[in-house]
Amino acid sequence: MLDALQQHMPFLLAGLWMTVQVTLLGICFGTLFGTLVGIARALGPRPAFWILGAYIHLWRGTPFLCQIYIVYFVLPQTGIAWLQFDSFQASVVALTIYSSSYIAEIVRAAINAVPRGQVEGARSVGMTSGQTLRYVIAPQALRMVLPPLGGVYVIMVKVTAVLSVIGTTELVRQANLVIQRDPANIMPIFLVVAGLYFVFCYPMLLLTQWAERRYGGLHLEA
Amino acid sequence: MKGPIRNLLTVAGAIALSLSIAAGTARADLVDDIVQRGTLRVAVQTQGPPISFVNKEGKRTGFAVEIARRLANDMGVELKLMSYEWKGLIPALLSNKADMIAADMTPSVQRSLKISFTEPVFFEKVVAFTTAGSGITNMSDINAENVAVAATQGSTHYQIAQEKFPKAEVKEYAGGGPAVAHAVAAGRAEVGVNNSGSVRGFLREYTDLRRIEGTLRRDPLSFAVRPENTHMMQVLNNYITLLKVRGQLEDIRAYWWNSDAWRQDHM
Repeated sequence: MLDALQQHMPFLLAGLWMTVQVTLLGICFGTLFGTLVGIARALGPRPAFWILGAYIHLWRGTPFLCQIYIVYFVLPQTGIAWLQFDSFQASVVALTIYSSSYIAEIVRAAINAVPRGQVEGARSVGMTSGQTLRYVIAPQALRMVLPPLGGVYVIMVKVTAVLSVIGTTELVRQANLVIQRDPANIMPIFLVVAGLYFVFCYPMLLLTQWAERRYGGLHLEA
Repeated sequence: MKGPIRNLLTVAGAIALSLSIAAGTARADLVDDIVQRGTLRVAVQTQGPPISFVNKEGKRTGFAVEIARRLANDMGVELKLMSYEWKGLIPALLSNKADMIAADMTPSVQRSLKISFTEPVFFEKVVAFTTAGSGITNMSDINAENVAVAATQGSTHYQIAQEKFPKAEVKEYAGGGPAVAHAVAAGRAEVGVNNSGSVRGFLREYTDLRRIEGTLRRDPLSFAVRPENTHMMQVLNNYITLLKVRGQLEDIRAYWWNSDAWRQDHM
């Protein structure tokens, strides 16, 4: 059995590498995009709140499996050239959209949790709205964003397991290909796969814990 | 509306229109496209040996894959294999991700309403298997209320099982033949339904599995293209005829389907 696993390992590691690439790109773009949407929703004008809210709830309220089908199979049928994603691009795009919808809500909630009086105080001493965001809201909101963000990142790692339906050969797909050659070892192969996911997810959780300590916990004063 | 914004919208509209026209004309003849771009994009399922799988060297191979490889080679273009799950194959073809499907797909009436099938490339016998201790010895034992039958999700095997065993509970499994074999070996279902070639492989991997005598159905298996690609369809049918008349298809079949020679080379 160990010999067999040794033989399968390069395939599983190739799958892990694909999972890592797709996830990291997806959560980087998703964090960037989600933060902008969250800020716009918390501080922008009323129409932006409603429109972006519809966007967020649409993506949070539908299964990721449907979303990747839409991004990969449905969008290209519009005939628009820049929507002709290949498997990898479609995976990153879908993950970006999906993660951004969660992150936007986390960011908005964190900004809203900063007491209103602080914003008014900052404005009354002559800060612009940009300076208020930079020096008053952001440092406090950041602390509140970090703990739930780690959770979202780990969820994003795990949803990549369904990307095989659009032809992305990620970790679970590689495992299934290996099992076709060696069906009797299905159990140890999936144990290794679970272990590899853990090896990827756990450091991300440690990283957010570290960042929480680095930037301090939640100490809000009105 | 303000002037600059209206201009911007007009330009954007014009670009979108020209892009969609360009996309439309580019697909006038798929065969020309394939030759021009130098790649044949083939959607495959990778559902398991001997039809389509990844071998010990990490190379995609199998009965259907090797025919596609040979076709690309004879066309003088590169082969680009795109691997999907079973349920992704037809969407991939219809959304123009691939030029053709090379899989063990039965040209069922319902599917043929959506996509166009080539002449049969090979035939499959759909058979049933069970565990040694299940007490099921012939086909008539399967059609009973306390029997669970496993079949691949979205497959004709599933429909055949429902038709032939209306009293039994038919369960669908994603993940191709190996998932069905594992479901039976693990006791999740008493009986599994799959093609005879794959079942022979299962019996080798799981020593307590037994084939049940008899054949549920004999079905043709075809490759497929989008309905509008008539030239591509003719290229494929012509190719299949050449392979058949020259005896090459028989050689391929003998290697992958009727022997275990491929097992030493690839597993």
